[in-house]
Amino acid sequence: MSDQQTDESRQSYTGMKFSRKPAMRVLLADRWAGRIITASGIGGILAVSLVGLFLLWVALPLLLPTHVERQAVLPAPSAGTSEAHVLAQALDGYGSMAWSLMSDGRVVVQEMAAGRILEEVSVVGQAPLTSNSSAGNKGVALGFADGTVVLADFAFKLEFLTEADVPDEIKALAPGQSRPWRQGVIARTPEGQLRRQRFALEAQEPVAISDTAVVKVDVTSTGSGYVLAAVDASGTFLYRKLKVRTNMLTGQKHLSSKGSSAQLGEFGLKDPGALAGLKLNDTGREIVLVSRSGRAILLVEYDGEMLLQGTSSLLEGEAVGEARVTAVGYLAGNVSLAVGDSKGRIAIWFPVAGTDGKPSRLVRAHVLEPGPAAVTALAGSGRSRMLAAGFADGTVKVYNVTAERVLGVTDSGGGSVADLAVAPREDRILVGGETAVALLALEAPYGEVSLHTLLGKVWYEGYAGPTYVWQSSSASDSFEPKMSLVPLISGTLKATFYSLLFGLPLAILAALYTSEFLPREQRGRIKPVIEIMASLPSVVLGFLAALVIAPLVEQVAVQVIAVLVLTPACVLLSAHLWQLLPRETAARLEQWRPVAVLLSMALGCAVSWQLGPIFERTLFGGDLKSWLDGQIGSGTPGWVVLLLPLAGMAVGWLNLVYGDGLIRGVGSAWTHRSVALLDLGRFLVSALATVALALFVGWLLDSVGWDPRGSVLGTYVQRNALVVGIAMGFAIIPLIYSISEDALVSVPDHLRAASMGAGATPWQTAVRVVIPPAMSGLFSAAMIGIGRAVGETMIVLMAAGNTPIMDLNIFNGFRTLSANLAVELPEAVKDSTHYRVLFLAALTLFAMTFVLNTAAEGVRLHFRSKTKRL
Amino acid sequence: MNAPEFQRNIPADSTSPAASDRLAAIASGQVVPADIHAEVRAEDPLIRVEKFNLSYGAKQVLFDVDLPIPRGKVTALIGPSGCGKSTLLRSVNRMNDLIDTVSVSGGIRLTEDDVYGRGVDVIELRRRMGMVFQKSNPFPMSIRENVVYALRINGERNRRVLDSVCEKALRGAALWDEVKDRLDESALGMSGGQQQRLCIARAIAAEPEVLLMDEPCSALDPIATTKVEELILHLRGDYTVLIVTHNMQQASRVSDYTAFMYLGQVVEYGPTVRLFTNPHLKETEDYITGRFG
Ligand SMILES: Nc1ncnc2c1ncn2[C@@H]1O[C@H](COP(=O)(O)OP(=O)(O)OP(=O)(O)O)[C@@H](O)[C@H]1O
Ligand SMILES: [Mg+2]
Repeated sequence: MSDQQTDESRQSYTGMKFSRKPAMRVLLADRWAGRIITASGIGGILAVSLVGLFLLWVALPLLLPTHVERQAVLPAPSAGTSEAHVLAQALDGYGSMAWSLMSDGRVVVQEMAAGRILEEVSVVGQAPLTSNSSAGNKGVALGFADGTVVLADFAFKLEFLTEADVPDEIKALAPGQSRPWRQGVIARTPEGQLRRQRFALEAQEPVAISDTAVVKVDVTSTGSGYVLAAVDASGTFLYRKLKVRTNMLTGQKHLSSKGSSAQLGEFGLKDPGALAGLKLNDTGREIVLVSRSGRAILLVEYDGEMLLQGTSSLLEGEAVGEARVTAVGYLAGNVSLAVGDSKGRIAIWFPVAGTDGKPSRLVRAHVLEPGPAAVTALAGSGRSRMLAAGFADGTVKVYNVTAERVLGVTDSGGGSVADLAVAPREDRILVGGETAVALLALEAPYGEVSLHTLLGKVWYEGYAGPTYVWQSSSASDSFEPKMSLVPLISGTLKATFYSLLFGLPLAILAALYTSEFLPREQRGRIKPVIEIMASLPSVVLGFLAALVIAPLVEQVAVQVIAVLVLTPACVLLSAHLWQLLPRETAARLEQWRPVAVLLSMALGCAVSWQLGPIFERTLFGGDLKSWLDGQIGSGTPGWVVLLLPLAGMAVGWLNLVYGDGLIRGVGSAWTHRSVALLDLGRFLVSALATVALALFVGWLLDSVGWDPRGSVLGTYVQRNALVVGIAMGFAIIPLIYSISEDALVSVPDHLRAASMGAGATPWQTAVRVVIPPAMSGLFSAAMIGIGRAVGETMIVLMAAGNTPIMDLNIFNGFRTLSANLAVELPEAVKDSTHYRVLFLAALTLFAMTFVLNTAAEGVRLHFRSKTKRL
Repeated sequence: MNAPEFQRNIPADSTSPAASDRLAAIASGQVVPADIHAEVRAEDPLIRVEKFNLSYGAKQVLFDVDLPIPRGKVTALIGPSGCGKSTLLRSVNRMNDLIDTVSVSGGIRLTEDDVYGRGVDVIELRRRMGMVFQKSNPFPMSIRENVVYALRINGERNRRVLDSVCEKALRGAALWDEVKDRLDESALGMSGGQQQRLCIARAIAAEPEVLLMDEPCSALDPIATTKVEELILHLRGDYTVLIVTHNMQQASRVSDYTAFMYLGQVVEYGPTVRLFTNPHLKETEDYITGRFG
């Protein structure tokens, strides 16, 4: 109250009266502005985290637990004849029926809902069944006691029926329902059609290959017929190529056979009974014989003859004497061999081509988690690296071999497992046990991925040892996907490193030049020009790099290297020569100094151009590329090139510590010209010392046996890290330049004035006074540049060659996470493992840039807190 | 209640009785020769400003300034705000070079060297002069590094030399006792007055021939001001000091000679005692006694 009165009584200076209370309008605007800003801030954070969350959402199922569950236990097909046990089995694609080959020669077809037997077919001819190959897509070979072999096709036949063909109870089936009908299973598909599946057996005429019983047999089909490998009771190894001839008149098929035989004794195997397995690979030219004692014999067919490639011992470790090989099975592709022993251990072996003309040998690439009892059956899935193992106590374990991961374990409930079959869709496993048949449900869609396969070294089929490989797809079905993110991450880092090596110094020095050495007016013109460079689409830079820079650099690689060394040297030399000018002249020519710098750079390029071929002749034996391949010359010249910058820095540092004192010591006594001459002499000596130092250290390293070829240098590939470094350097220069220039300019002028007033040169001022407070800005500029380089796609996609190789070689290509996404995501099947792993790669990329930016911000704040009171 | 006092602060128009023809002539753009006392002419000048003109772009700020600055003496520059004192001071060590738009004519000589001559080494020139700015500007480094900055850029690395110079300079700037225990802390943590004395220490650490001071005490409390003034008096003899100040008492206390500037021209220049007690010109007396400006 009293306030108001004094307000009114106070004299007004301007003659106006204003309300002290803020107007309603102002308050409202303030409140709304606050809300909108808060909302958009939160929105921004949300949007970013939503992107991360979405990537995580797609990638996360990779890590979901897998499991195997017993779905049903059905009566064993042995039904009555208790002697017979299961030899081989297969499930149909729908999991609705299965066939089982019994030891008494019957094939029993069962439906899988209740285990009812639909059909029984006998394959026995004149003599009892004595051996068989496992069920696969190449047909089944049956060996008999009379020395004959029958090749048979065990298949499920699919047909669609019309409503008129079936009785009413079948018509009543609802979509999705199925029931046994007339030796088969009929089901109504979700589309309403009637689909009938039947078992169909097609057997070829018997082929006599021996006089005694066939105890082991395996078959594979090749383009021209079949290849058969067998062992008979007398200990003879038999190898036959079968050709199918069709009789033109009768249409009957006739098998003609030819081949060779050998005695097992020749391979050091005594007794056919001691054989645990005989496996023929898909080409029909490589055979592995595995004895119960763990000896594996690798045979190769060459021109009709069987050659012994080598033998290996499959049982290693302390229990060699006691353990016995009890099961042998192929993984998809029929190259990798799963070997199980009586102690429940399972190992994966495959042949690796020998180097230097040595024969290929079997290597143990994976050891899987052992089971509780002797391994009795091993079955690979037909389409992935999945392996099902059955044990003597009825346990079934399912593995993914690549990931060395247990996908699930369960008790089949049917006693000792005689045979296993993985359904074509990998959703069910049929277990033929002693007393019962069990149907297991399997859920492991992403079993081939584990943290180890993504980030660790994995021993892939056919490789000489564990490595990091990215190879996500191939033409063949039985392909082992290799999904290590490490080569992609390393490619990303390589691209970032080389582009920073090129772009960061240029950008920061350019920023320093325009902010500290150029008049304000010129700076105002140059900065926008450089910033326009940032708006150059990266696809343009990419194709320039791929189609112009890459072929050019390939032609003049030596010259390019020489430019990197000689241009700075020329600029330094011309600076020292400039000092020789009398002061008056120098002052008069001051405005031409930038021109002189440009001229000396051009001179450096010209000299490099001229000297390039000479360098190539003298240093690299006349051909850089064969030198890089390691064919000619020693490693010393490579070391010299690599070490020159380091040697230059070392000599420069020595100069700073000792040389400056020398110049200062004489400075007052000598004339300007003599001091300049002295300085020039010092520079020349330093340059020589630099070369000598690099040469010496390089020679030392080379004589110790280190060759730069193979690590930082190596075989020249046209699209390589150097090209990407140059192109991506151009992409990040404007960004880094712009931010660091802002940071440098924002250092208050009074600091510059204080420094210059104390008699510092512009360079001293820049280094001692301007850069330290601008450090936070320079640092974030570098970090944002790194972020850009990490995420950059088009340039690396076009110029890096996209080979997912992991090395340091500056002359080799690579593939980055981002380019990999661009290449593969359009082709990846939605929700497949590949698709989800690509999302994981995207998440990795996101995390990398996120971590980089966060770290950059942290460091920036740290720097800023030191200098905030300026 | 406050209104009458407020009104008194509104600048008086130039028709006050003190304003004379000379100032009016300067204001109208004429170049009026300065009244330089014979005592000044008799001294041995270390710096001679001769017919010096300076423009910021199209705007001329200094007009034909003639100013001999006696060796080993303290010379004060006084004059109303904006008359070009700081500009003149900055011209002496060519700090104006940092401003792109500046153009100069006429000359300044430091002993026999032409400051604006061709081929002159500006860096060397600036090392011969120390400068203290109107606004304190310590570097974002430790107190010690601030003081020895000039030695550092000259390549001095001897720790003992640096330490002893640091201590002497800080004592000279009356700062030693306050900071001797925290020499390695950041200079930005000091108070404004301490920062200004640090800048003075930094300027004298390089043992310059000339000390240029632009209102060095405008941010200092009376005690610190006294100390800085004692320092200036102490430096007299060895150093030549050119100091800009708005404080008449300070000018009369520390300086041997005083120049009164007005709108870019020197009006009167003579021994401080004469200028403050018995100036030749009425305009000077008016300014000093506060009757205008
Ligand atoms: N960098 C600049 N660019 C353009 N004009 C300037 C610049 N610096 C100063 N001036 C102008 O030059 C004139 C003289 O300025 P100067 O700073 O020398 O005055 P001063 O006498 O030091 O004043 P004060 O006592 O307020 O410090 C002023 O009119 C000012 O506007
Ligand atoms: Mg001023």
